[in-house]
Amino acid sequence: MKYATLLSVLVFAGCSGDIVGDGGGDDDGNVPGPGDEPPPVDPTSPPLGTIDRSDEGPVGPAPMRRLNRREYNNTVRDLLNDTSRPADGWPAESALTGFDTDVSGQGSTAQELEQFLAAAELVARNANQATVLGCDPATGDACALSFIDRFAARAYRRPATADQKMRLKTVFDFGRRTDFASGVRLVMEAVLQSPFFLYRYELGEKPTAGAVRVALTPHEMASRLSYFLNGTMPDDPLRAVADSGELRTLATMEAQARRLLAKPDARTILAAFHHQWLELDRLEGLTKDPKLFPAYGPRMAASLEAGTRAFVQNLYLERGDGTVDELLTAPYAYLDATTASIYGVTSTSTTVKKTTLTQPRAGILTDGAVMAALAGATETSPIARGMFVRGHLLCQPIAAPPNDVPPLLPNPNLTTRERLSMHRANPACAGCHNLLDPIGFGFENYDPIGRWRTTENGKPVDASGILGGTSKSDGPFSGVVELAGRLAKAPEARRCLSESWMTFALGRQIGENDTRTVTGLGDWLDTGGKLREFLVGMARSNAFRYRPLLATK
Amino acid sequence: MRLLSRRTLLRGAGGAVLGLPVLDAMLTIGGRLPGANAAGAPRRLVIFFTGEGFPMSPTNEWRPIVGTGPSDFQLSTMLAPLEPVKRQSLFIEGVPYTSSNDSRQRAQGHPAGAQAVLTGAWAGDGTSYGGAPGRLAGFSPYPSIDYLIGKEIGSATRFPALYLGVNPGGTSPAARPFVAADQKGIAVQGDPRAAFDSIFGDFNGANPGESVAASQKRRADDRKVVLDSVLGDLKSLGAQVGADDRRRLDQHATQLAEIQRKVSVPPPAAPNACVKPVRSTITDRSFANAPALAPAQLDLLAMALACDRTRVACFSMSHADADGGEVHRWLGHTRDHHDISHLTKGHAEDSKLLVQIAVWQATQLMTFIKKLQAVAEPGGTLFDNTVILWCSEIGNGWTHDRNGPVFTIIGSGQGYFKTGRYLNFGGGSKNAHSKLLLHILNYMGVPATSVGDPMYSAGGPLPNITTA
Repeated sequence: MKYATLLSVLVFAGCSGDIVGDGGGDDDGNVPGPGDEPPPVDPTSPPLGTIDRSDEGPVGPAPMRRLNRREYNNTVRDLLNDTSRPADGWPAESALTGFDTDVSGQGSTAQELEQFLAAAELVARNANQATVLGCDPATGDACALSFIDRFAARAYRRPATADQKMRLKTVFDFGRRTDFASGVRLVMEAVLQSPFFLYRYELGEKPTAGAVRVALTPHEMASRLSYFLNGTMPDDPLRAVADSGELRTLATMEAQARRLLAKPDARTILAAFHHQWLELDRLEGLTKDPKLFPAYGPRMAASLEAGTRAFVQNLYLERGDGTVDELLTAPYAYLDATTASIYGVTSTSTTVKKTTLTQPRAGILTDGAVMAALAGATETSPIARGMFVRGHLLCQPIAAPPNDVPPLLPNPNLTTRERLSMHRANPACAGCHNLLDPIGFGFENYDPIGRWRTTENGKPVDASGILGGTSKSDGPFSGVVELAGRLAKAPEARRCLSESWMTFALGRQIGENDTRTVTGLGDWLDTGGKLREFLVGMARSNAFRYRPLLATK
Repeated sequence: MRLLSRRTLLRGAGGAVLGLPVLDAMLTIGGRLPGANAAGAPRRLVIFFTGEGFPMSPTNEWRPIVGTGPSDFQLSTMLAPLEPVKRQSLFIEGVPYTSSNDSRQRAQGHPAGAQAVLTGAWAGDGTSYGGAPGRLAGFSPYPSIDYLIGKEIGSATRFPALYLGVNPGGTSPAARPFVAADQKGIAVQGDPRAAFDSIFGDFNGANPGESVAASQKRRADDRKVVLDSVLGDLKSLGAQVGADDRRRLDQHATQLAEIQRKVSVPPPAAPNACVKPVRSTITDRSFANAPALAPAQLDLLAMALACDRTRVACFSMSHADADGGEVHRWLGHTRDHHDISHLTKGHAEDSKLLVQIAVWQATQLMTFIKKLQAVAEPGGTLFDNTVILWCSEIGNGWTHDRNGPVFTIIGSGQGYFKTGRYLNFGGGSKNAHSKLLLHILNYMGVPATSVGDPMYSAGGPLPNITTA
């Protein structure tokens, strides 16, 4: 269990966080943005206007967010055509919510600021001034001022103020004493370390009397959309509708969201979200017993995750009709020659391809990468798998064991299930393990690298389990396919998916004031919402478009 | 003195040897330290953190074999690699992390210990899974000693503290025992190449056709002007945003002003013993490559200390939230450290494996110590001016024990600590832990009278630990 949220804890602690808004609708529209062709919207997906139901209540906080490693790399790529990924060497963010977008882990330690300093100098030194400058240095100050104006506006993701430009001109003049190029280079260094570049801050529009929240300005909204759906700075068409103010309308916002989802960068967002949500970061450096699993290694792990990525990218982006049901129950997988054996088929393909499977499989639940990540080096971990379903799919985190837990001694005559059943016999353990193990046991047909199995230690696998703690889906099941069927019918699972995505999108823990959006999105999925439109729905939700009034004291 | 015999003095592009007598160099920045020895060499601290505890129960494999008194003992198999420095070490048992049981703590097990071990506090409120029912945990509300020391004396060196490790992938309170102000966990750098660039990048000398001194002067002047602009931006933005964001920007500005102060003067001449290391070629940063990564990272830390880039060097390895990935395959192990630490295959078998892990860790540590011993400094060697704390977030692994962990202090620190002894507080002194941390703060020149929550170090440092 890597992350959990406030909302989840309230649910787990028995508090009800459910507040359902009343009816109503927003102005919907589907107008293409300038100069691009968004994919068609599936006509069977319900309209997005029902999600927030004209709610005008308070929204959650909008803390200033600093570019994370991923966003920094992408942003210097788009700003300066620098593909060197300078942030790759930085240590990982403290992602307390489980996502690298989490603002709560962002400090200002000497170490972090040193990284920005070093990267700014490196990127500025390597920048190709001939392409970046956009004017003739022979024109002197005129060229410098025009460069500063355009470069700062792009880097700061909003028009640069006179004050900002004046400071940059001072920097230029200092560097100019050496030569023009040095002046430009120093301006880049200053911009790349500026808080206006490193942070995304949102002041919002002017509040109206009596309002508890304010809409983000078009430029702030453009940044939110772009970093959420593309992980980078706004591109030219998006900047254009921000400059013109058109982005204030929901129609333009939705059209832009759909356009961004058609860009290649959206695929990397899908990869990043699932890498973290499915805990595939566990695969990094994870080793399996080579005697038991000689085929497993870094190459296998990489191919498995490539399959997971292709699966979710197809479901969310390439098709307009992907659903949560399919995410949880798909009887096919994306595999290549390396991973075919995991799924019990043969393949000679060097890239992952969609392949229908004959053995029982259920979408991400039996995904090879997920199964390998949620298992030890020699044996499966029903507890980790149960924790994953409970914590990540239902958003009901479970407490860790107390101190002084006696070990479960091994017994070569017992299956993993039989051995683990012993701690449920202990009343001190049973409270939590009754919520975990009966789910995790359902996965026992999938070995520590995700292969199908029917026996363990010479005994038949017992994959029967019980799902509890849901409003409509509780009951016994046998194997993951049946568990997936129950989860697919659980409103908790769809609300949890909304909550997980919103945690990722907002870069903070989900709280009470986000509940209406989270439940609204879950309910919308319940009525047949499709996954690509789900992302658009999040981008136009109240939690995403508004911030609370600025507290200046 | 193997290292010194083949050292190449740091040279600039013009071939000029950079370097003044070590004394001058070390005193150039920040003046003489409160914690310098009579000859002027500064005091250093190394924190060697290894997760998952030690094999100490049911049989204590850590405990030295005790003779007639605290100075008469033999090292256990586990600690045997440290035999050459036994007389310069303090082996302390029964150091309960009492503060981790505070009523305000929000975690159990590994995160609870990790947030206590270097802070004298506990895992505070947060958004991370900490294990306590119905609530979430975060980093400690009190910073760790490395941060406090860096804050106090860090202005004298380029970096207040450095944090390198092996496979530090985890980002949760369980994996990050180093904590800055405002409950921010401090990240550990697991990439020796990136670590090299950040620690020694400044040592890259002149541009073509430029003298070293001119290049350094120009670079320093440029940085001053660039950072003036950034500081202006920080002030301007701070005036527009809400109170919480403004606070973050203020911290950013304070920290950046400190960096500006250091980088806007040409770097001081390096101490004589400073040798710019070679940039590592290691690309595999997984735990399986620890036999290469650990020495590479420790070498960088040794040279960062020798070059006076920092006086607080932190190393961490084997983390409780490494998710089953930390298998000591080079020792013939097939199961991961955490699993073994829970003695899942039985006490006899798994204790043996845990001893192997600890012996390997102690061997890495001893290799590092030899590096420090090879660096000549006023009053002896770098090792003589250093104190190393080897600790873990828990005592014995299988019970997540926080009542009887151990502290191994290596190096007398210019005779500050009364070494060559094995001590066992045996739970008799429930605040022994915080009171030991306090000694380390004091040794490094932090004039504190408490650490973490003052209630856990009331009465001041433990008696009979130092020579004072």
